[in-house]
Amino acid sequence: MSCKKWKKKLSSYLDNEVSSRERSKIEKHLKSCRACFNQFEQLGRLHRLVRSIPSEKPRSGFYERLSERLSQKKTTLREKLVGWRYGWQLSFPRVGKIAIAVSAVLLVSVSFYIWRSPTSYEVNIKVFEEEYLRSQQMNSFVGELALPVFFEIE
Amino acid sequence: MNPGKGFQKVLQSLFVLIILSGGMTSGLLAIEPKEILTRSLEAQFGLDFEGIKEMKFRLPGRSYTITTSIIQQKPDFTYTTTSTPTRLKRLVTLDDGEFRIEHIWGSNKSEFFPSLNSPKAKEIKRKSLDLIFNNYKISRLLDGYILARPAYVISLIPKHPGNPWRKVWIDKKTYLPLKEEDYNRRGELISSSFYTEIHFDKRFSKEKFYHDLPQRPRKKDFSQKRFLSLKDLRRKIRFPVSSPYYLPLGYEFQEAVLFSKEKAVKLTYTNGLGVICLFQMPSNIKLRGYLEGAHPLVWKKGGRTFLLMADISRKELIKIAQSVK
Amino acid sequence: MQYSDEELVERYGAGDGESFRMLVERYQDRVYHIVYGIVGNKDEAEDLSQEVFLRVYRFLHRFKGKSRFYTWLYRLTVNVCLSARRKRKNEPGKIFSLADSSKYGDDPGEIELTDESFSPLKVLQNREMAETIKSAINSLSEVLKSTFVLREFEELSYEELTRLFRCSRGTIKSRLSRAREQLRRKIEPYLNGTV
Repeated sequence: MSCKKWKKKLSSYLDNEVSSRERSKIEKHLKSCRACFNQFEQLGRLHRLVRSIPSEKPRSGFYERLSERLSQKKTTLREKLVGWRYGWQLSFPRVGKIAIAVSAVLLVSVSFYIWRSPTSYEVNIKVFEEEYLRSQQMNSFVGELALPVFFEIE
Repeated sequence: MNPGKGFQKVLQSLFVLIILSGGMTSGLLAIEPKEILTRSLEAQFGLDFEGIKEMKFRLPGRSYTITTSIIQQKPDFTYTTTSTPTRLKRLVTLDDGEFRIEHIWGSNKSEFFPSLNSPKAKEIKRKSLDLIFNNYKISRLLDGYILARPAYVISLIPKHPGNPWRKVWIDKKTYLPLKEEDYNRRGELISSSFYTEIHFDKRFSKEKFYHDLPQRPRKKDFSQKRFLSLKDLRRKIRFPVSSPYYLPLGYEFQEAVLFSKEKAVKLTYTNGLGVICLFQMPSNIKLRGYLEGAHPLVWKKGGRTFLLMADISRKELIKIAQSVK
Repeated sequence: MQYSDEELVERYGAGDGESFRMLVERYQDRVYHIVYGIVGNKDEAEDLSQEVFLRVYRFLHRFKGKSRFYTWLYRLTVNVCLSARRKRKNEPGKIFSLADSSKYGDDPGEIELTDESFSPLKVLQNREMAETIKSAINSLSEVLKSTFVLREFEELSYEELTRLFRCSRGTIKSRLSRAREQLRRKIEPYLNGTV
């Protein structure tokens, strides 16, 4: 085998990703071939040099910045994808029938109805009914009902 | 005549008189209904109790019931869980005077709102009460009982007809409103809220309630922003806000709310009991869906879409709409 | 309590928001290091690292556990870097330089010494060497570079690399071999005992 072919194997040998049979063959060759041996030495030094490069770390507060972006992202992505945020498995109890329009009123998330098409921006009119109810409740004596804004994705 | 007997008779009559007036005394030394309401406002913010509340609502075409368990700790802490309807079963709300969180327990879905127990909110309620005093005839009806507790029963009848009215039961001992019935301007019952269970003076450690909830948000995480004046609102947003120049008698500005990702504005006006809501948002926002029954007034003007909702006559609605600039 | 990656993913799927944070904190430095290795400058590394985790947030529900979590994460990382590079195809490739590191007020003396012996000369030499190597790595083609970075920085096995890059073992071998050869040639003087 020409040195060229041996040299190609040196990389895997360095990574210890060769079979034991291959390894002994390579080691045997390295003992006898000066050129390949030098090459291997250089690869070894390269490896050590690369490992000596100090590990780069991000500025402190990485997660905080990420959170910020996440909440910003929501407002733009919402206009593109419906429900991406809730792609994970929901642990909310199932509702068989949508039926009670009431529930829709109560559970309307303002945002959900805005996540529709990429270009236009839509709001379901029930959102306003809900807000109207909130204002009514504001003046109630028997404590206010915090109209929940959660909705259910089928 | 035996003077003793005469004296006895006087005593007897006096005794009877006292007994009789005993009943009337409560009427004579009667606490003013206004005073009852004022005290009940304080009670809403100043009691420790635990209870279960049922709310029945009627909207055109449908009605529903929501049952919540409530824990309230003075001065400003409220925690609720919902048991019906099933859809809301995992809904938990917590309000600690700074913010209110609505959270679906077991998930990481939550929304944050300005607190409804905050001094700001209390101020809104106090103003409403003042408006009620101006716009409503407050009468005390025959006492009643709620959960075996004696209660004052107060009726609020509008001075200006064509407005909603209310009947409220207030616990005599603690002044906490225990039941309320709301009627629309036509006299139809549209909602009733009442406690089915109540225990006072129970104290809990608040910490445990925060346990399952997401962390406190920063102010800007709120799904809504509330303003107590149009001036404050205008300072906050970049687009112009129109307001009505005509309002039915007795109605005043209550609050402005920015919602829907700060694109929609709700202006609320109240006469203390009823509310008028004017919504506005940029015209490029399309409205979908429909409301059964009574429709709000919807129109477009100056690049904006408006909605007007109130429990008042159609004529009045139109008058308000026309005055919006 | 120390959860495994897979446990955290499961908890996240069940609705525990904290798990996401924990995953981020566990991997943010490694992801950043990889991204920095591939793109070669801190601004972009910060930006793209964030992008990586934004995608994690977005697509975590799709992780089915067929591979190890970090394989999935690093694949996502490489994809983010490569697509970012593709977008900037027409832009001249950024050569890493000292000027970049000074942006964040890096103290030149910050370069770690992996050598026990210490001397001002050595510090200077080390710094220069680090820059040279970084520059050399940066000059590799994107695919070679990302394979090399993941092997050297994260010590992923060939097996893991084939799964990550979804290619054959032969391809991985060839990429690493070529990357190393190119680097070796570029920094030969440094490898010949002057250090």
